Amino acid sequence: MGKRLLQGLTLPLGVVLLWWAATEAALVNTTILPGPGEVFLAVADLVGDGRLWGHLDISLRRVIGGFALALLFGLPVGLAVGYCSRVREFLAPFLHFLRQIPPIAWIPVFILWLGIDEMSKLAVIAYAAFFPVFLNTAAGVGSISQGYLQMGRMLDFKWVESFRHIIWPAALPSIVAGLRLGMGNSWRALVVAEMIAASNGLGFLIVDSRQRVDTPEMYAGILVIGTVGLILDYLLVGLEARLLVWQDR
Amino acid sequence: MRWQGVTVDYPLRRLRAVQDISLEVSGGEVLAVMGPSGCGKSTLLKTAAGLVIPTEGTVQLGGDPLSGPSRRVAMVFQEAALFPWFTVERNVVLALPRTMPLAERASQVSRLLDTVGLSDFAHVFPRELSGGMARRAALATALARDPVVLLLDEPFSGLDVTSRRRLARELAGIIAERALTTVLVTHSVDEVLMLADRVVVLTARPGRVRVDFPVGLPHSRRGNEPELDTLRNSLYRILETEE
Ligand SMILES: Nc1ncnc2c1ncn2[C@@H]1O[C@H](COP(=O)(O)OP(=O)(O)OP(=O)(O)O)[C@@H](O)[C@H]1O
Ligand SMILES: [Mg+2]
Repeated sequence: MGKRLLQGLTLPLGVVLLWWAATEAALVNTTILPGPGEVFLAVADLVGDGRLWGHLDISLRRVIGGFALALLFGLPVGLAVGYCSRVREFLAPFLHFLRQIPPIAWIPVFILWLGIDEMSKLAVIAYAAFFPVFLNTAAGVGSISQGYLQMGRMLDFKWVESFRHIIWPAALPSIVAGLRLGMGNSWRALVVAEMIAASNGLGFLIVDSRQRVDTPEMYAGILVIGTVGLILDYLLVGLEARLLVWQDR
Repeated sequence: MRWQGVTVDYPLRRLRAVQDISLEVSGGEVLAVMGPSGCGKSTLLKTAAGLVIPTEGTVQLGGDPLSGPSRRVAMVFQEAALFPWFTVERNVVLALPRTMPLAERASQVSRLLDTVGLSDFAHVFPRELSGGMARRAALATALARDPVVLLLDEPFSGLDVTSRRRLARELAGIIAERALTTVLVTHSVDEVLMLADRVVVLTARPGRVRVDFPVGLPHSRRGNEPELDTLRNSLYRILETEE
């Protein structure tokens, strides 16, 4: 663990070092790219005056809300499409059409339908996470080996039991992979939505600092977005490890 | 267990897996089924499990035609014989009859795991078991149903000679003790000679009965008795020549 962490940190630390050296040697224009020290100070300022928590808080609420909505729709639809070829033939063409449209294209539409407040942002985030969740759930259910289902028939499983004991656990690895992809999509869509139409949140922080020509803070915002996204993904990796102890890794 | 003129077609792939098979296994008898890969051995076994319904002909169990899985029949599948997401113990518990009172279940499970020599592996996931241990765990799930008929699909494949012989010996004991009517699909002649009362060899697909030999020695043998030499030689000869 310690060794892998060290390996993983080598490149980012190297980049920071290079960045620092380039700044010290006056090789970069600091109005375009301030040095790492300045950016870290900006992060410290954001933490210190409490603004970071405000933006982070609202962004996390949005992403969790939108992601929960995506699960609410993506899981059942995915299960139904994976399980039942009728439903698949009925829904798949339409959903694949929708999938071609990136979340950002919907932002104006959702604002028109749902207003500029939270609802439209939740809709964009949910939309962004829906497809990976739905597609991976459907793929997981659709690729369950016939052998397990036959075993279930031998054991006289009723529908609920074959769902609990076979379909759900067999599809779970794929579902969890979908959750991770979906969470990543949600987080990125959130930032975009906040940059286009919001008065708070991490996306807004970047746009706002650019307008105030506070370049270090702009970079600080980017740093925070990347870090929080990474933490969210790690949380899901932890969930994966807990849910899938039975798997070979 | 009795097959009468059983033919199975897989219409989706437009192929005939087995054709016009008539066979009978009487109570407590061990029937070994051999034949080239893809000749329909697993399919034949699944008709006995009630998982595959014959296109033509009937399968009967104790005089009644089978129209689906029966409580009296248990099967150890060739692949996917255990649920990999459950521990060995949970796999066995799920296979117990629904009617068994909760209080009895724990002791029943430990008895079954004891029978197959896996008492220490109750809380282990299938991926952590060796090939031979996984077969024995699957056997425990099959026995959990307290079946009359036991269907075994290649229980020895992928095992080394020592584990194969050991498993065969254990199987012989379990089958004799419970007087199980057994249909054993396998490729290994040595284990057939240890276990079977009768051997059937199928033709290449679509599988038909090619030969039907009695073994003619009582159970609890080592499989290397001189009386078996002629049978062993003819089995090898038949398996090596296509028909
Ligand atoms: N569910 C199915 N749908 C379509 N075709 C199938 C199905 N199951 C088996 N088959 C085909 O039927 C034929 C017989 O298959 P089966 O599994 O019964 O053979 P087998 O004798 O058990 O082979 P092996 O020795 O490889 O286990 C094969 O050609 C196989 O591809
Ligand atoms: Mg087979």
